Amino acid sequence: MSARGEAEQGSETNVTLQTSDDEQFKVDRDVANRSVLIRNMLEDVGESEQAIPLPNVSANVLKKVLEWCEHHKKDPEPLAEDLDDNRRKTTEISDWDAKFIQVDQEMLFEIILAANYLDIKPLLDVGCKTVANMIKGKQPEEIRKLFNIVNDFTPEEEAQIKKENEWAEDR
Amino acid sequence: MSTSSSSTFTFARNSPPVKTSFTPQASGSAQSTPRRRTPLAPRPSSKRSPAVTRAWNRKLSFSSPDGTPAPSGTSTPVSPETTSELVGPGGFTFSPTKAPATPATSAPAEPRRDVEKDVFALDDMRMDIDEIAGMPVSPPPRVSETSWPTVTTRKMRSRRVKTGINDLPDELLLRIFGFLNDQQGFRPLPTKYSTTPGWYTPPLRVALVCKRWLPLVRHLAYRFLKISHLARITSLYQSFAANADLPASVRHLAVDLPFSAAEKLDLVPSNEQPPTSREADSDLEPGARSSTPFSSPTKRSKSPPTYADQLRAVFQSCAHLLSLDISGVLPATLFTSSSNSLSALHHLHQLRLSTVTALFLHGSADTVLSSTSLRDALLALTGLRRLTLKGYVSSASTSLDFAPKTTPSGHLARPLPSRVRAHALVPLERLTLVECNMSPTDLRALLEHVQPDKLRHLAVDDVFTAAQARKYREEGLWAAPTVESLQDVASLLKTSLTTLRVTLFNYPLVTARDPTVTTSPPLSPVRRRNAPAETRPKHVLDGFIAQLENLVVLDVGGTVVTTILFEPISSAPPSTPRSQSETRFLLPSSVRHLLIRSCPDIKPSTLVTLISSSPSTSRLSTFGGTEHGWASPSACWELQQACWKAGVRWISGAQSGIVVPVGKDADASATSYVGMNVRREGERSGGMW
Repeated sequence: MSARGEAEQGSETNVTLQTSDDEQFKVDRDVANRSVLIRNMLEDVGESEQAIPLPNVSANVLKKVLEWCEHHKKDPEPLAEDLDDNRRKTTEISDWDAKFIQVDQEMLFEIILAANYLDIKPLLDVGCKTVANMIKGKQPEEIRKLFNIVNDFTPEEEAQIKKENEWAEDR
Repeated sequence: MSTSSSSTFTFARNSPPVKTSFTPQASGSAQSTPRRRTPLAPRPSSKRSPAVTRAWNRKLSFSSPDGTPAPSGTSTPVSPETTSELVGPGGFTFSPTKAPATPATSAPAEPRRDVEKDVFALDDMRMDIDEIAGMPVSPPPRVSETSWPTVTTRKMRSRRVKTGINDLPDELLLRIFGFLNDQQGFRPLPTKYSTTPGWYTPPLRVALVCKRWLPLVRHLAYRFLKISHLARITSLYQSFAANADLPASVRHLAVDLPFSAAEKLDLVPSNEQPPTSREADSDLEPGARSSTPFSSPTKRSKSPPTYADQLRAVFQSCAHLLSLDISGVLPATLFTSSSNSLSALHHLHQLRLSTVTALFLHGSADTVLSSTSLRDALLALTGLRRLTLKGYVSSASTSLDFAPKTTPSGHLARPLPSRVRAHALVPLERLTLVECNMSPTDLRALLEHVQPDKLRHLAVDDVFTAAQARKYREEGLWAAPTVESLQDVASLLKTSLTTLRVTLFNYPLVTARDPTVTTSPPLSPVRRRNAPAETRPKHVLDGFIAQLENLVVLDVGGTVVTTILFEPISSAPPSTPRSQSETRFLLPSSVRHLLIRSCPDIKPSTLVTLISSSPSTSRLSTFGGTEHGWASPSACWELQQACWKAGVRWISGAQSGIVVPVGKDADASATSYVGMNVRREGERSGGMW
């Protein structure tokens, strides 16, 4: 195959993504296809050399997302029902994903938002499970402290809610 | 801040993580701002990530009427009369977040204000459009010389603000909360119960974190409620009385009281007064006649609510209920009138709880379901689409009658208005009868109460045990299993049914064939179907199945079918050459999916001709039957080859296949079986065909 042919084939298998801060990422099509949003865009647009704009994702976040997509690019596409069932059954995360998601809170939430925007359900679940695991077993005050949330209930409101929730305390 | 909280607009999602140095008012209002729900699906044009949007919004702050700058991240509407110079066309004053302290920072801010005076927000819109389109805005040589801010300008601002958990939209918070589960008593594990929704619910204490989380957590936590003891009835009753919005979140309610608790429903909770005596003409169960405390506070003061009253009040306040699971409580306890002026039947029709589409009604080891319970439930739940009965015994009560002329206590019942009778039929689509002894009369009455041609899925699972049979005999409740009643209602089902699952285990095996059927090969299928049923055991459903014209999925287990169903019948006259004759079977030609579970009479060789000759069957599932040759490779080889040739997908399982319906769906094709080692397609030697 000629050099030109190879270049053309390479351009066909690669996709250029442009982030909100104008950085461009050239990635393998299989990697990009992990995102349902990008896959649909590529199907709609067809073959194009133009970069796909991702105005809601910054470069550093996209980098992390692509890292995840690269690792999981050969994962079988789960059926919608299976995905839903697995999601419901467990909050366990694979070792690689757990290590991948060990980032600061800001990046964690940015990854969740990006996964939601790009429609990468498995990555979204990894992020959501991580946050859920952070919340698990904690009291409201601890959760507020962890996520820097201000308690906007008045003492009266808090007492009222506690009273309403009393039924759930009996085992 | 001088403005009241009601007139303060905040950008909670775009505000930075709240720090302790902030004023409590500003932080509090930021948290309490209601958010518009956004779809979970990507929104490339409308939604912008906080990294992009927050900085832009954060740049905007609104001055208070007296000119003092408002706290960062807040906006305050200002009347045009007070500050005409600063007010824009939208009634808001935009100004930089920080006061121009130095000439270096004031230079870029001034042109921006000029632009906003001239054309309100058009520049913003242009920038948004440019950004969404991904087309970089041509940066001017210097920001101070133009009114067009650049993407770069905003990018620099965006890095100042951190994304926090409250920057996530509600949908994502709900998704996170969906992973939380403390496995408390009222939250059964997913799929533990057949009608339990398969998701977790978060602990209610999470609702106390902030005002934004409260409705989200409640939405999940109150979706499924299970009442398993008397104390919970009272506590739920008090919670619902304190906050009338709570019952609106309840979608699935399970009442599963033990026998000992059900006996005490007539009692008043310990902190209440003793109840008044029941009325003499009551035709309902004890505790099912008192007034509803929610609707009648005056009566409550006279007559303290019993547990039954409270339970009824809880149930009837759940206006958006979708499914109901009742065990250990008579349905009349829930459905009865809150007013003594109406008779029970009239009230049931008046109640017409059309939101409830699924009902699981089951008797316990100590109590059997009676016809009165079933009647009450079906009269009250007019929108019922799925019904599961467990432990119904016809001989335990009078026959099922939806318009009785007398009450159970012998009083004359007032006839129902004809308008009510005409609209009483339920649009039932799925009916599951588990371990029931339903007589043909009751089954016919039940099916006649269903709208014509609506019922598509029928499952009858009878696992007969010697202990149960002995118990029923001792109590005088002996009756044949429901399977034996099916042949009497074939006319009601033959056109509508598409899925049939029938199971009968531990019942006498079929050892002898019916001579009238086996010795007459030229008999046409129609004649065979019309052969007298009395000549065969009533639990053999070959004739019944043959009448189902639109059956697609047939799932049989135990002794309900014989080989006759799968053997070929030549419909052509004897003079026709054999090559031209069409092979027909008693099995309806519409069947696409055939499931056979431990049928002692059905061996692999039985199905070879069917698979080879029937063009309709595309899936075959065989479970159990090891002792009947289904585990023998040599016995299965011929069938395997037939599947190959016919393109039939064959799934096999090793275990017995005794049915315990654990799935939410009664559909035979989607049913899962407890303890069954079902191999995945393609795992069997030879793979998928």
